[in-house]
Amino acid sequence: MAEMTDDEIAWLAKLCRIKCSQERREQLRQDLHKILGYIEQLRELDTTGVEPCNHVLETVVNVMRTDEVGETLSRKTFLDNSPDQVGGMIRVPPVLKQKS
Amino acid sequence: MSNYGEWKAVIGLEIHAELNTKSKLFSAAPNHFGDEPNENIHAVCTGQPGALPVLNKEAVHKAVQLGCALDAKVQTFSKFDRKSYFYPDSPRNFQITQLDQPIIRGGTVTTEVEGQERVFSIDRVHLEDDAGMLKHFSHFAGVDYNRAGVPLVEIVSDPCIHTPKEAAAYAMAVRAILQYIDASDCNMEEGSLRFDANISVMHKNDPGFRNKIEIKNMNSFSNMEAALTAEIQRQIQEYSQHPDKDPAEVIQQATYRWDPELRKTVIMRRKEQVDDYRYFPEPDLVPIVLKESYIEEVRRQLPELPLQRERRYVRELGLAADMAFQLTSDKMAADYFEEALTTCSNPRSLTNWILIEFAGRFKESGKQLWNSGIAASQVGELVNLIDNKTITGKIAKQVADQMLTSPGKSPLEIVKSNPDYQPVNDRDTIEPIIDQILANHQQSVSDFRTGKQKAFAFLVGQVMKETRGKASPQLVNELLIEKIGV
Amino acid sequence: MTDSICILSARELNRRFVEGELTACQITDAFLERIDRLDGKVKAFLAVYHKRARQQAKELDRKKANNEKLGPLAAIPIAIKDNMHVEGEITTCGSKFLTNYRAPFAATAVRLLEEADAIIIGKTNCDEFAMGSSNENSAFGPVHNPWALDCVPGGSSGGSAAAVAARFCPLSLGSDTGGSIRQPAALCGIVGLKPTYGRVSRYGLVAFGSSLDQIGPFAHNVEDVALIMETIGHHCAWDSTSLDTPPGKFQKALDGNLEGLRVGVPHSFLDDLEGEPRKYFEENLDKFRELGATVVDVDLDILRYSIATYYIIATAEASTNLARFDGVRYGVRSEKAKTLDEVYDLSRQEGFGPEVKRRIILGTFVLSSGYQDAYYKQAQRVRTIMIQKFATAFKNCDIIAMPSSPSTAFKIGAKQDPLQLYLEDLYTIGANCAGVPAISVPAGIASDGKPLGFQLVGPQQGDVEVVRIAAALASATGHTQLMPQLEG
Repeated sequence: MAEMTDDEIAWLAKLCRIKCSQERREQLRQDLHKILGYIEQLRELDTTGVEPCNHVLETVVNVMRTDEVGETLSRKTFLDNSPDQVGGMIRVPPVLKQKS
Repeated sequence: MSNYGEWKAVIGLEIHAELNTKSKLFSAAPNHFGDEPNENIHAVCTGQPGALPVLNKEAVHKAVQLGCALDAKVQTFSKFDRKSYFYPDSPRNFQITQLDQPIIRGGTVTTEVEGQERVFSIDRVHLEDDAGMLKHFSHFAGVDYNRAGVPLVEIVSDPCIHTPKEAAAYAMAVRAILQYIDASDCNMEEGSLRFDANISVMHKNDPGFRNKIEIKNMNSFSNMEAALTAEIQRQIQEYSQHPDKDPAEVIQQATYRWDPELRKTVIMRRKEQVDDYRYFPEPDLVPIVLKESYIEEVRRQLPELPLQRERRYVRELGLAADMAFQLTSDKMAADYFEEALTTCSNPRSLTNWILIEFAGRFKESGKQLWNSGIAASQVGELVNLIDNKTITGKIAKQVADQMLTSPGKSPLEIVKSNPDYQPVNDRDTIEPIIDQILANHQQSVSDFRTGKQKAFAFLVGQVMKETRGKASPQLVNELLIEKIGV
Repeated sequence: MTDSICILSARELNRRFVEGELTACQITDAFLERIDRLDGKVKAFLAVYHKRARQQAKELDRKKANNEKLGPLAAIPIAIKDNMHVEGEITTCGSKFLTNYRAPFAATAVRLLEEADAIIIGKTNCDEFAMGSSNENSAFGPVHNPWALDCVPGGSSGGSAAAVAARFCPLSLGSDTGGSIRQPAALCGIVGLKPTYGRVSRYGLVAFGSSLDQIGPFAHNVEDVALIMETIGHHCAWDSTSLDTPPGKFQKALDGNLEGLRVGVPHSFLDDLEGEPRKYFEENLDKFRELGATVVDVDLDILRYSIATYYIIATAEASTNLARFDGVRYGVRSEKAKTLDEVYDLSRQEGFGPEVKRRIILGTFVLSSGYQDAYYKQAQRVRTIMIQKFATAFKNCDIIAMPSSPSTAFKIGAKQDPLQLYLEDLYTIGANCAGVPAISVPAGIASDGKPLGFQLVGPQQGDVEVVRIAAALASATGHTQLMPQLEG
């Protein structure tokens, strides 16, 4: 296993929005190094021809609901949990148009 | 094929269509546009912790119908995946979509481009849930999740499109199919049909593709055509200005959007390493396993599709191919036509009135005949009035004008309520006029006697002019012939 | 008086209520009083529903007085791990991030309990988002093991296990993603069942590792587990992975007969088991033999890879499950956040503890392009092999026996290294990976005065059989009678 670099951790942190201070990042790097070193053992297993598990209960398929409108979440209940709201919407700081 | 000299454009379209189910893809919240913000929400589509998705059967059914309509391979096994990215309109910060095992693979769309039949090939169609909507204000943004979780099909074409016209024609054909199978409302103003394009240009000496640019959110067929035209020009120009540079440097992969005001494509962002969506199978949903017999049944029960209808109009109604195509490429138009046809038996004239006369009158307003309040039967009635010589074609045009200004009023009523529109049918009124005209145009009379048909038409025209188009053409004919005595 | 009520089993409490020996209010007050008096030492609860529970009790007494039909769990106080929703109440998941989140709907399991007339008595502490094996990862402080207050109760359902062990309630719900019910049950000397994946609906359980998570009960004894499973094991239309078969007749199956039973033991996999854990494990196997069962060897060496497999799959799923906690729609948005990026970054930085962050990063890594094949997909392939190996093993045996944990409860703060803590789950994780049911029953008290657990693993959907066998074994060993002394 290649050592995870500071850059890689910074990149992962950006992807999953986990911000770390410099020293925490170092601790994290060490922890991850150890954990990755451990899970590395999986690589020694020969899994040629083995399908990745899709679902533990293989017989459970086609679970669907009929197309009916049912119980909804009331706007009040929804907004009561929200940190900030405006005109029935969730309020957030301005968003730059850079959507994925 | 294209008019770019040594260059050729390569375009692939991604069409997102919202399915018109009653409820959302994974929850029982209503799938409905235009309500107050956060009115049509559920624990699932607002990403509440502990909420779990359950797939809407009807969405699957509509996707299968679409697959059959595209003559595609409906997959007997498909599954959902999570696509991760952070954005406020994404309630879980992952979208549920289908990556490597979509419900539909392949398929074709046959349509006309500038009178030529073209077959476009489809790579795949998959199901996914829509995001919510952001309303941008100067100092903040508001998030509304009414749209979050609305079922979408994403129809991905092969990079088989080479001109903006082809792109628009293909997109219109896809829209028609979606309408015919009643899978989507295809309302572009409400965003229920959206297009993204991947576009690159290729020099005739190129061994392979160059970098492609993604253009997002072109929200009408005309915008799409304009955006693609502008982007092709831009790319060719960039490459031509930097002939010595590595092409991969000249145009780098990026996402653009069409700015209709500036009339050019504007960069949104470059493709960076950060675009790592970390797709993996959605553990909260189980696979969709379809039986061949079910797929066959759906295929058998497909409604008539645009191409079939077009061919039927040509074969059975004797319409010209281009008219039949135009009529059938919008289901609303075709349905309207068929409704009118129940009251009228002149399909060619009816087509002309729908596609040319009325369409021309609605051009400015942006409205369409079928949602204008003018009933289809009334257009049929108008055609009948002409056909049974109640009015002349000229008056019919004035009646049509009035049908627009007072929708709902029948053509017959309009004709009856205006003395100017009353056909002049009695011999006693017309005879003196004819006598007068014959007296004034002796030359024409003798020309006609020597076999000049044009002279007869001229005389008819004179009578019509004198009667302000009200004289019954049949009667005028009869009287003229009688009086000239041939 | 109150404590004599609190040591009763769920079935006995229900019987006394139904037969008019105790009112629901008496029962509820007794447990509430005991919690108020003693939970300061254990810290099993994050919220005690004094009002709600008493109201439910009053309503039950009224129903009883009117001879209305009573549910099968009538008057039984039950605690819920704080990662499941009780409608209208706060669900924290042991996280600072959700301190203000009021559940907009009830978890199916909780709803079924309420419909069966159980009394929801409160919410129990747990590792943050169920990530941990010691309950030390709770943002609200650790839970103390009722057998040794300076020790951990196990995790992540530490509060639910400690609450039952301390007799604060006869039953509680936990969730088990890699052993989070069975390991704390073992460390607290009680019974804990992780049912077959899909047996209990996950609707309303805040997801950690969706393909591994399963809700299950804690109880003093196996019979109470049988009782509650008949209520919570129902199919749920809101969970696509919920089994659509009936829960099974758990109570009827309790016949105590183990004659001819084949107990599989993965001897090679258990090679490293030593000392007292080995001794107690063997004693329980001997008890099986005494009861007419035979012990056969099964090959589950693949489970050596179970921790690695698990920490890839669970963290991958968790990294996306926890992406929704971003400070936009609910939870605590950082007060310092001025921009959208800061709403995300600071809310998550301030709201999540170190273990949660570690796992989110790890999960993001194993899913990232370039690494997904080597880690995530390889783990899913190994998982396929695990499922196959379990299936093969069950061709030669009816049940598989393993220890529940490698040791008794350790001291709070003793294990700092995350990897060392992960190894706590060595014997329990396999059942989650394979989706099979597994139960931990008390194996006895070690020389340090703390309990050990004995685990029985059944084939998929063999829940009734697992409970039947566990009940027979437990009644023969008598270990379920053991109780910690909290007072004095």
